[in-house]
Amino acid sequence: MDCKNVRKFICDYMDLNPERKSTLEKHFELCPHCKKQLISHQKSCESIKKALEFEVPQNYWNDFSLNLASQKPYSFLSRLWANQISETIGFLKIPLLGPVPAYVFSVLLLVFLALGLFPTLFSEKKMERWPNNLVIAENQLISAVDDGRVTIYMVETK
Amino acid sequence: MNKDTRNGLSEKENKSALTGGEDEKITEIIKSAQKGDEKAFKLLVEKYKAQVAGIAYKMVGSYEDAKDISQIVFVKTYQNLGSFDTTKKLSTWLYRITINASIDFIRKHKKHRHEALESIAGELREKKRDVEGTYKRSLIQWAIKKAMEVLNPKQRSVFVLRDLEGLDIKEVAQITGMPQATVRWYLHRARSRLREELIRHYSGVLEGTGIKYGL
Repeated sequence: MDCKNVRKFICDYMDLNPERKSTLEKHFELCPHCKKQLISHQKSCESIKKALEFEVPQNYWNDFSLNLASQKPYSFLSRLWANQISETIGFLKIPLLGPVPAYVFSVLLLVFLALGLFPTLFSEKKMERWPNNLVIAENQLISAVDDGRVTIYMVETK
Repeated sequence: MNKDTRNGLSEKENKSALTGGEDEKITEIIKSAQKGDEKAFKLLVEKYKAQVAGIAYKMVGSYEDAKDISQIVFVKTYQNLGSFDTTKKLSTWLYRITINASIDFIRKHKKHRHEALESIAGELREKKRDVEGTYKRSLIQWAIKKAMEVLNPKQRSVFVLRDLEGLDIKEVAQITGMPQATVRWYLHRARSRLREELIRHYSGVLEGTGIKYGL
């Protein structure tokens, strides 16, 4: 790795994977200039971290008050409910089987659902209309119209 | 008024409950707070308020705003503590609420940020008479806070948590809810953008401060 490439990785040096880190370390042993850059960068990072350190000013927490009393009715009830629900369905949180069986179960459920719906969606019920206003389906007399009056039958016709 | 007395807790009680710092002890306090024990919740606030305010300060760049955000964070924590899983780390959960609250705050107050930072620049001119060290620190603070404005919320969050707070990548990933590889990518983008911004606009300001972030 040449100096130009090494410098690209200097800012991410502490988070590099061990393999890349070791490549860079080998380069630093041979290249004092890049090593100097690394040290300078690390010092800069430290200075930035130090400059943005949270130094609590005097009396900072004096006016820090949590009005928990106003939260109490809601939070107390919600906590009770949350505990109750958590205890009741807590066993669902335990990953007994892991995600793979869950996916398989979902896919199977979808397949079964599709298979169940298929005949309903695509089957063609043979409806026949006879000349004397009789409606027959699957060997059953469904209805008959006589003088504008509809009569429904459930008589088997063979 | 002393804060501890105001909360109904003596300093001795606070110390005895929080020293030792064992995870089990914290879990017990959380469980008590979940059952509605306000005193236990206040112990948690005492333990974590500086860390929460610290992250909020680094996100928004103002002590007063950080305090307001901390208040929002702890009220939200109080409201939702019942659903917290005690097998997990409270700090991770708290930091996540803090980061989200800070991002909300930045979005709401975006218009006023510019004016706020300009006023800091005014203060800096005054500080020229101040001790050299403090002046340099203030210059760095001002330049970084200003440069950080170019970062988007995700870049800013990972930069604050990793580079300023010193958390490891795994923890940053847990807090932000992103995969570790994504965190690394945002971190790389944040550092690069910050470097570009510092070179382009603040190299003059940072001259003599020892900051060679721009390589």
